Amino acid sequence: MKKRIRGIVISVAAALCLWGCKGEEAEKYVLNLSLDAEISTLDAQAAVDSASLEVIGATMEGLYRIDGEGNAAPAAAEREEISEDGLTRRYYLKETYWSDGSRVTADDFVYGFRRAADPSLANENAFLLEISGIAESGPVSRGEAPLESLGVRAAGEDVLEITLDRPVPYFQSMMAFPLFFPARQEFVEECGQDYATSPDTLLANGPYQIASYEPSALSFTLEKNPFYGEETGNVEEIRYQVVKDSQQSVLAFQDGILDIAPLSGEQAQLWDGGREYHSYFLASLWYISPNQKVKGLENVNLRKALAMSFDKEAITGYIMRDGSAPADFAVPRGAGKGPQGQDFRDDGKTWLEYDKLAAASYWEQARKELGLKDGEILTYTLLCEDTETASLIAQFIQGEIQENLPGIAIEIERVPKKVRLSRMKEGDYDLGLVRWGADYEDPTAFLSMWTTDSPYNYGSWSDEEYDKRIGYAVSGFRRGEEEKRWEQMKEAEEIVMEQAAIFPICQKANAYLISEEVTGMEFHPVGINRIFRNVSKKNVDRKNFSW
Amino acid sequence: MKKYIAKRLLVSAASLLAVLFILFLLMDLLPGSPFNDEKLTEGQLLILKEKYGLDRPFFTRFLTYAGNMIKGDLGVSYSIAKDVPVAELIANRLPVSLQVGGLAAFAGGIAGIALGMVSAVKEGKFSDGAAMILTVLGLSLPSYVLALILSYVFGFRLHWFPILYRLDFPLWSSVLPAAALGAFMAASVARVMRAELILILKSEYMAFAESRGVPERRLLFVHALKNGILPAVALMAPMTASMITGSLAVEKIFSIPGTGSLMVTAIQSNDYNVVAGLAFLFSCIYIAVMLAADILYEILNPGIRIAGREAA
Repeated sequence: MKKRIRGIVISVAAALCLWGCKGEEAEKYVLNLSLDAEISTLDAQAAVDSASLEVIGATMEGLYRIDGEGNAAPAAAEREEISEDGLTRRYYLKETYWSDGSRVTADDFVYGFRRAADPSLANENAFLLEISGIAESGPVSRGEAPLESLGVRAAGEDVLEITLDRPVPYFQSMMAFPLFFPARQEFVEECGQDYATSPDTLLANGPYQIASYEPSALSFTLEKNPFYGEETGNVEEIRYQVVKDSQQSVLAFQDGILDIAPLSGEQAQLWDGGREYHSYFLASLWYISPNQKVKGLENVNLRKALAMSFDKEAITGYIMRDGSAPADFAVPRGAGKGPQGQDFRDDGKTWLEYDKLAAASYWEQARKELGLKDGEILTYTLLCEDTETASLIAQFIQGEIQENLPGIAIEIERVPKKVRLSRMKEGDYDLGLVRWGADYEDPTAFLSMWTTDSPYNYGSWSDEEYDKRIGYAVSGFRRGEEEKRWEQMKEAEEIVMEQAAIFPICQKANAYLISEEVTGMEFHPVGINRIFRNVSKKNVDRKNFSW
Repeated sequence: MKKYIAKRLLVSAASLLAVLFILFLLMDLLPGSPFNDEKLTEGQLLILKEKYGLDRPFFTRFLTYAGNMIKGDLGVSYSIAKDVPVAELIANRLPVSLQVGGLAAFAGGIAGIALGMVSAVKEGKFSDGAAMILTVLGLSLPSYVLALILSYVFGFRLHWFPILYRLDFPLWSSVLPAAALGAFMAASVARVMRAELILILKSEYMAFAESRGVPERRLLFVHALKNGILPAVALMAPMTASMITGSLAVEKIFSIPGTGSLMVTAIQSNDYNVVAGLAFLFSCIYIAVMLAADILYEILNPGIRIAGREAA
């Protein structure tokens, strides 16, 4: 009996060993990456989440791409011709290929744009078509006009003509966003419902192609696209692994299983200063939206008092800890380039900086204006999401306001994100803690939120001068007036800050550990956040897992 | 027995429908939509809701869903994996959950029974004490803490097992998560087995069997075990079901593509069809496991008549 048991144990162990030793692969340059969530789709026109956008960005390209400096650089477009009025843009395409060897043509772009606008596909990002100014995109995407009336047509196999309903200075950078990527009609139609759900039902025209993938997979692989004609880094394969626990992704990084690992604030503090630690800004702002319909908050001095009463550096230094920086502005860094290539923050202007004494004197003034009696207490509820970061920020601000502005009491209400959004949309809140990221590279991605008729103007703030300036920047501007537009947006920011229509807290950054083996990584504040086109590794893949 | 099973299945089908109805109602009450509520305007949301039929009244939606479900169509995902059939999503995830959960239940059950037997036979001795310390640890350590410890020691330090689940080494990758999941079951089963066996070993019928010269091994493994295992089976059945349906914490730590994390993601993003499909699946698994336990019960102890056969 004992012998038999021993025999079984030995043979099982041997079988496991043999089976475990399978899969020895040829050595190659492999980039091992993690994502914190599953990708929701590989359909360029349907993608909205950052994970999907990143993978699509690695496998496909549009007319333009964002280069290492954050500028729009021609990808599929060879050159561009713009009409005098800036409303017709003609793109002469390079000779580029899909991963099945067929040519990428102007028709593919036309089909891609029409898919983006197609109301039967109901793409969540379809609103970006209107923001990019493409003629008739509004009516087409609402189903009020036929797809063919969209302002895009093929003027030849390699010539794409796009008609705009107004000049759009940030048009090139928008074309680097996956919604505007091409799609080959016959292929998409042939795949039908299965389009973009497996390597066989996808076509790539970017540096990589999908090698293995199934919907909601936690691991999948990209490989070099042999039909991509341009120079890239030496990485031959990208292996993705979804790791939702950031502690585990750091362990995996230390073990060499991952080349790049995202860090939580706590971890970032531990690794800060190390050679592998990196932090990159996102064009994303944490701020508080005061509801002007709530008694007291219509008073500008009270709003200023609240906005200046909390220590933003303490928030970035003790709560965020990932490189996020205090924000004394409404438009974060990296949210669009000016006519001279300058950033909105280059002039160094700031408003509503933390200043206890100034806050107290604004509060004193507000008390008089509001006719508050001695000892009368104003109580506001700060609505925030139930995430750890949001809760910590809310608690800190609560403490600061109550300490620095005696006579104001803050209560915190923590709710799931969907609840916060629906409550804020309905105007059912006093103060709301918001995090907003830019969808496109232009200051209006933030500034157009606070116009009187904006659906995102939850706090119902309204200023005629402001609306005028933003109206000009969005639709009134003419080609050649780029400088004026920039100035108008600057003035608009001044108004929104002078009136404390929002209380900015900080600009979000992401912290990462990046292996010293890896070079050429590009991080961008807007759109596709991580780009791997030029990534190289010093050494071929190590074997990390042995027994 | 057949009649009993048929009756059980009928009751189960009715309760499944009730569960589904309540679930639908709850999801209807959840704020927000499955879509990006933050960026979408009302007009865009309307287009999306119309596309997926979410603009229709509650009862119409429920009846359509239930009707499709009977035909085997669980609908498509709205946001987790856009427009992908839920059945396909579940089919991708279920084998992994079955494998990890099954391994955990199997190993946990066997380990628990063995530990309980050792404890009972060596009652009051050193090995009993050691086994009981192990069970206290197993009961009190939350599975995610155990998962972190196992992953650090056996994955990160010793490199015996992968830290993150690897599709190319499925069984090897399942060992640590199964251990983390199965420990609680092993500990619970061990304690029940020990208590039960101690009573049985001291019982008169065992003394009688022993006096008749039945070999010790047969005494323990046949006579005592067969009776002592019944309460353990009752305990293992619901635990097995919950382990197969997946544990969020353990799945998260080891990055296991299982159904547990899918369910949580689906709830968080209001992906109604995925939630309903998974809830349906989880209920089926639970019903199947409980039914199997009942049948096992009867096989182990024909004295128990679950089907009311005496009346026949």
